[in-house]
This record gives sequence, C-alpha cells and structure tokens, in this order.
Amino acid sequence: MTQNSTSKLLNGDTCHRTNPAKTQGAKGFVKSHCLFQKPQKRYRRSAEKNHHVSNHQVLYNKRFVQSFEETPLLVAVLTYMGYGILTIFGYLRDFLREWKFEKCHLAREREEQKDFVPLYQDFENFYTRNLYMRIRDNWNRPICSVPGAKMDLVERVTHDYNWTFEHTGRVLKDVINMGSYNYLGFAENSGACADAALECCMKYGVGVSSTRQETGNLDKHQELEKLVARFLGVESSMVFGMGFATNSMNIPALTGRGCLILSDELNHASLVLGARLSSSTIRVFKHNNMQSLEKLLRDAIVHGQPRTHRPWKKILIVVEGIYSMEGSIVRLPEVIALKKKYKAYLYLDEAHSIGALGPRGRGVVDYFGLDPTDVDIMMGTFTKSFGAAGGYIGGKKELIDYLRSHSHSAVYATSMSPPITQQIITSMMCIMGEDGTTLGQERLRQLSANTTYFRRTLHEMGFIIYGNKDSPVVPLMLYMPAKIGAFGREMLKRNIGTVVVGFPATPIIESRARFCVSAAHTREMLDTALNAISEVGDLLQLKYSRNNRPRSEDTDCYSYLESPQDH
Amino acid sequence: MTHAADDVTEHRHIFHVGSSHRDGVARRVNMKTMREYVSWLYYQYLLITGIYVLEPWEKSIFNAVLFTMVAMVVYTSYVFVPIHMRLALEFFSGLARGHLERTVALMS
Repeated sequence: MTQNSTSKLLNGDTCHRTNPAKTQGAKGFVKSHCLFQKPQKRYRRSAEKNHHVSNHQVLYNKRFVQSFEETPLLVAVLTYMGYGILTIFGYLRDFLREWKFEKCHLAREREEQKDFVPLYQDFENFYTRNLYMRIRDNWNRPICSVPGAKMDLVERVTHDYNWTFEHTGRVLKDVINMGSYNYLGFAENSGACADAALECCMKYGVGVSSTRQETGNLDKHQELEKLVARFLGVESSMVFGMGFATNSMNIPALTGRGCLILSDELNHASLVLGARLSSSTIRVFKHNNMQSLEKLLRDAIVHGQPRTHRPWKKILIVVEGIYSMEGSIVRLPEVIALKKKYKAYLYLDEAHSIGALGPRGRGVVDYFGLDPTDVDIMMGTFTKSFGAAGGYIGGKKELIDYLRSHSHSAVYATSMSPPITQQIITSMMCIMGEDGTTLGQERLRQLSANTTYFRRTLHEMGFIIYGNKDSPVVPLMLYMPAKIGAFGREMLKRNIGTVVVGFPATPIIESRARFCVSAAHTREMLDTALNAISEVGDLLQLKYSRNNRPRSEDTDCYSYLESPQDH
Repeated sequence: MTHAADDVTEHRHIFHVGSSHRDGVARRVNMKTMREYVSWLYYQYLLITGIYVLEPWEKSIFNAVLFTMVAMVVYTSYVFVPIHMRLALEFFSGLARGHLERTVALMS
C-alpha cells in the first residue's frame, strides 16, 4: 500500500483512501495514511543493526547502502570501565590541585569568590582538564604548508604533559593529510586557481573593508552569485564571508516566533545555533529516520502550536547533505516526498556534499537525480570542495532578495575577500568543465574511485566504519579513551596526519578517527595510508567488526548466529 | 543515544566473545620473541584500562593497587577454597546419610 501511495504522489495525484476498513475505529494517530510505515518486523539475527536497503525502490535510482554497525558489548563494557578509571584519577588530581599538593595550570576563581557558585566545576570542564589535556597533542597541530594531499607539520614537544608546548624548530615534511576537507584537491598553491586568485589580489587587494550592504559589494560577488546559481540549478543565490555565519545568521531571518523547525538529531552546531537564535519552536527527529520525521509532521499539523492550537506559520525541515561525524547521507527523496505531502519547507545544508557527491559534482541533489527546485533553500559552504572560505544560499529570486536586506550577515558582516571569490569562481568553472579542460571531471571521478577503494579496503580489513558507501567522510570507530590518543600518535609516527574525535563532539563511548578522502590522493598514498592504518589497527586491536571478514582458521562456534545480509 | 535508526529491527544480537579471533590477530602481528609479546600484552592492558594516558606515577599507583588485589584473591582462593569445599561436601553428605537413616527407620 505504501508503494501505491508513493508512486501516486510522484505522479502528482492526490492521495486518496484505498483501504476503508483500516480507517474505521482508529482513534488518535491514524497510521494508515503514513507514507513511510515501519517495515514488517522480520526476524533478523544480524550483528549490524542498520544494513538497510530502502523499501521504496521507486524513489531511489540506485541502492542506498548505509551501515552503522552496533558496538560489540564487550568493547562497550571495557570503554565504560576505562572512563571510570580515568574519572577516579581525575578526582584524585582535582583533590591534589585543590589542596595545593600540585601546581594548578588552570583558570581559578579568585579568593573572594570561593563561596559563590563555582564557575569551573561542570562535567565538561572536568573532562577537559582531566582527560582532554592528557592527549591534547593530537589536536591543534600547527601546519606550515598548504594543506593539500601532503603537508608539513611543526614538530612540538611538551615537558609538562601537554600543558605547554615548545617548538623544536624541526618540521615534519610530507605528512599524508587524511584530515583536511579537501575533497576535490583544490587546496593547492599552484595551478589555474592560484594564478587567477593572485591576479585578482593584484587588482582588488585582499580586504574589502565594508559590509555587503554598504560599499562591500564587488562585481566579483555578483559574478560569483550568478555562477553559483547556474551551478546549483536555482534561480538566484547569495554568498557570505563565513560558512558558520551563513547558517547561524540566516535561519533567524527566515523563521521566527510561531514557526516550527524540525531538525535532525545530529545537525551541526551552526544550524542548532541559528535555530535557537530564531526563537522558533524546535523539534528534533531521530537521525535520518523518516518515520520519526513523518510522525512529527503529522503531530505538528494536527495539533498546531502548543497552547493555542493555531496552525504553525511555517514548518521548516533542516537537514544536512552529508553528516560529517557519521558519514551518512540524508534520505533526500523521502524527505522531499514528505515535504510535498505535508507542505513544509526544506533547508538543505550541503557543507560537505557540494562538489563531493553526484556525477556532475552538484551535491546530494545531483547524487539522487532530483530536481533542485524541490529544495526550497539550498545552503552550502565553499570551504570543503572549493578550497576557499565562505558560504552561499540558493533558492528562488524572491527568497534571495528578501535575504539581501534582512539577513544579519549581509547587513553587519564583512563580505567575502576578492582573491577567495576568484578562487571559488575558477574552481567552480573547473568542476563545471567550462574552463576548457577536463580537470574537473577527472577529479570527480578520482574522488569517487578513491572513496570506494578506501572504504572497501577498510571494511575488508575488519574495522568498523560508519556511514554511506559513497560518502568521502570515513569515520573509523575507536571506542576506548586511551586508543584515541594512541591512534593519533601512532599514525603521526608513521607520517600520516589524522583527526581523532572524542566526547563532546560524539557520544561518550563512540569516539572515532575521521578520514577525509581527497581527489588529490593518489593510489600510492592511499595504499601507504591503508597499510599504516592496518598496522596500527593490529597494534591497538581496533578490528572490531564481525561482518564480512575473510574467515580465518579461527572460526568461533557462534558463527551460525550471523545471518546473510538481506532477507 | 540511538544509532541511526534506519532499520527498526528490534531483535538484539547476542554478543559473543571472539577470544579465538583475538589470538589469531596477535599471531598476525609479527612477534619475534617472548619478551616482545609480553610487552605487547602490557601495552594492550594499558590501552584497555585507559591508564595509557596517565603520568608514570599514576600508572604505578594503579598497578600497585591492582596487583595487591589480585594477590589477595589468589591467596584466598589457594588457602581457603579447598577447606571450604571439603566442609561443604561433608555437610551435604552428612545430610544425605541422616535422611537415608531416618527413611530406613521409618520403614522397619
């Protein structure tokens, strides 16, 4: 029945009741109209919770394969134990610092304020001073070259366990960069983009010295906006100087009191901040879960605003293209089907997916083969695939004209710097193929090939990898707190720079290492990196995965419990 | 927190400890000598308990406390468990014999 209603919606027909028996006697939440009902319970004995192929094949033109393998129970228990032990030692150190047995390196309250409510006692501060500080050398590493496929790091040592660092004066050369968001390899200091940016800098200088509304509106900005609109396939677009500010300053201009924002559980901090600043009601749905979203939409329409039950002024669904901590891709066809059915608006943040997904590099809309005019507000950043900085919003002309005068970012923030604008123009023309070369197409193909190769190899090696098989962001699960520090350091010893992520950015037991595959990585670089990762994985015992491992001679007696992939 | 709830299967997988596969992995890491293998095991112990990140004096405290507790457990089990087992067996067999005698007395 769900197939029928879905295909009818796609054809533009109204969805009418096909099964009168079900609608009788159903009180409250009527389930029979739901577009996305829960699939029938199947007895599935797989270790993977979510190796889910979509039921709605009519919406997707290719297989949508996304997996988030469940944490092995033993690993979870050991991780909690590890955090428990570190917490005890944290309390011990706090005690020593309090009673002056040990010198305190932190901010302390003044003597007069000792009897007030403490400023520095939250669990997050406890975590910062007792756990984060001990492995702090894995973050904020100074880079002294362009962050391309290889980079140079400044070597630093610490003599007091990461409270202070000193530079030794040496430089670690040619460290393979698996952490920069350099998906198409445009972060380079030579080539067409760099030359064009240099020329632009010679003509316009570097600073703009004004906001967009005053004298900061250059002809380069107009050129860029037309180009972005053409690239995305929308009527009009507007660019801003900073990606974070694009989200946090424009959502308040779009919604206000009396509006409803439905935002995904794992949305980025800029989206959350923008939603909160707008003082709209915010409701959160489970990550990428269309049943949860549909339930929220139905409740919102049926019950209206909380006390007065008036209808909401507008309902805005906020999702991201690729979620950078999970590597998952949004289920855009289903979201658009829901949006059309319930007449909500869609705000799509393509920070990581623009330029990185899709056969023509136009982002997640291109990846699924959908119509860009279905998405009401397409937002993205230029930091990741274009090698520049800043953000854009694309949509209908009325929307963009409204934003030009009502957005805080346009009125108060400095506009984009000219060399950066030129860098984006050149790189975008390259991706579109309009600069006369096939460099853009090659890079897109290389990125896609690299992603597939990297993910497949890591999966075969036995690591737990989250996310969609086409996403260039690859989170590799570490779980235990000591392994976060150990992984970062061991990889640096093998001359590979990685980003490891722990508690505040991820749930407490799910710490991970996040790799960003780039089109600038050659096969040799990827092989070097993969060998190093495998070596470190064996050294640290990180190969937790229970599926798809080539069966060695030690098969345990529980192998009959593992079911085949699809039923 | 919930994982991405793309699938709504509610059947939880029964965990299994793949201890056999862990030894296989250890063999894959190139262990030349017994000394290296022991030091790799110590490294795993440091990583799993989390004390890898601590300063050396904190590691020593933790190791001392853990060693003391393990030593006490070993001592107790070696000295007292056989005595308790013997006493328990005597108690239960005495109980069974008493029950049997009473049953025989009842019959005759």
